[in-house]
Amino acid sequence: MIYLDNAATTYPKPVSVLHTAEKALYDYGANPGRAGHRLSLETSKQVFNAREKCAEFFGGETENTVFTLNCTHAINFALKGVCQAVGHCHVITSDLEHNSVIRPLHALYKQKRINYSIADSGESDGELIASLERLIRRDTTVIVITAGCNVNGRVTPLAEIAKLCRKHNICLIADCAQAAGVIPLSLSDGINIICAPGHKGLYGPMGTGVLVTDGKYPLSTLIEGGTGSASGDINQPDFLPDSFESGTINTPGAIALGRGVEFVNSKGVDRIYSHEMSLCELFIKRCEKLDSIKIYRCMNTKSLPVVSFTAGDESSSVTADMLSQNGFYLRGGLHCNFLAHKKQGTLETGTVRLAPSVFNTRTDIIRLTDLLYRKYGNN
Amino acid sequence: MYFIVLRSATAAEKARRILGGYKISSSIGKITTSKGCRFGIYTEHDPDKTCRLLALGGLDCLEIRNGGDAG
Repeated sequence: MIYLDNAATTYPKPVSVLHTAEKALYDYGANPGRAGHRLSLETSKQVFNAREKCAEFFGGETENTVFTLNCTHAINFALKGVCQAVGHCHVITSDLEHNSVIRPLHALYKQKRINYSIADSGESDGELIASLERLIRRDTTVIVITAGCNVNGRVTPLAEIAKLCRKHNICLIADCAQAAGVIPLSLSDGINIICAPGHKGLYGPMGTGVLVTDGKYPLSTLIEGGTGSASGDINQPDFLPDSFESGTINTPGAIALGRGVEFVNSKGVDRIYSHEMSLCELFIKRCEKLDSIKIYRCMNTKSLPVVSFTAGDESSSVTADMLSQNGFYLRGGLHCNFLAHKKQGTLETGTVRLAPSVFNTRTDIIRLTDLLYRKYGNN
Repeated sequence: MYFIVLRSATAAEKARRILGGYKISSSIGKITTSKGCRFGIYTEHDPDKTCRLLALGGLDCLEIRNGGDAG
């Protein structure tokens, strides 16, 4: 089996993450931040260590780092939290967005709580920035945008977008689902809220994610309940991270996520990016010899290590199924991102997505392309 | 022994780290007050000075309690 669906979730996980998750279940079994007994305090300490690692990784403060279930959960907290806090407002996003961004936006629009506009990302960073700027209105409160598209890998110029946001006093929320752990991302770039999954490029377990805020924009809560703090008050605590962590968090997941971040730091984000990009480039180079394989990428911008492709007129599901039967696990379809597929003209067929991780090798890519030669070769 | 009340378990763990950096020993505890359960730190260090150090690290001391009153 050769797993190349790491944009959906990384697999396998590092051994250190597996061991940490197991140890957390064995040794840190009390509820963190609730009781004052020794096991609860020790579990809290382990959660704090993980929180601290995530905070440092994204250039945030420990208490401004919230554990969530996944990136979608974090985006919903951020987007709805800011919009609810300011009242009716205008939000701008792009045509590269995953459903985790566009669906909450559209739901808020249907509830008449916001208006939103979709910027045409064009073919270059300059076109995207110009498009975003054209859409800014007096009531624009938020720009929510992906750090890198999960379909074609296109990286957005977040630092430039942050400058634009500062100029117009707009909150910048970055969906870092594909980019976290692959390219450097920090609040110091001017991003106000970073939303990231734990289970992709940070190599944590599924069911983990983080929201890291610089605290400049107040966030209304979406879920209220027990936090283990200020329990005599009927009101939800107004301080982070407790205000956004009602109910018991995924404790073994969070602790193991901290180990995942440690793993990424030990490898180095730049090295991980170089390795994965070299595999994507190898794939693209070898596919050049195949007329029926069409690659979808933006040529004028930086890219994440993700390659979408189709084989002739074949539906991506058929291609992905054929690959699966031959032991290659890649995802076909729309990848929960109809906007990007609409833009590149693959809404009908979808694409097959190649997404390597740090554990994939050149041999994996050569074997995959050898299979493509056999199935789709010109002769 | 003093108990310095902080607003959350996260704040208490951060406080322990900050004080550790100043070589001030402390341990985390939890008490029940009229405002509900509160996490904080036990320390024998001067409580006012301790709170000033914690403020430098961005933490607010909500209350300072004395020995037997610390829960």
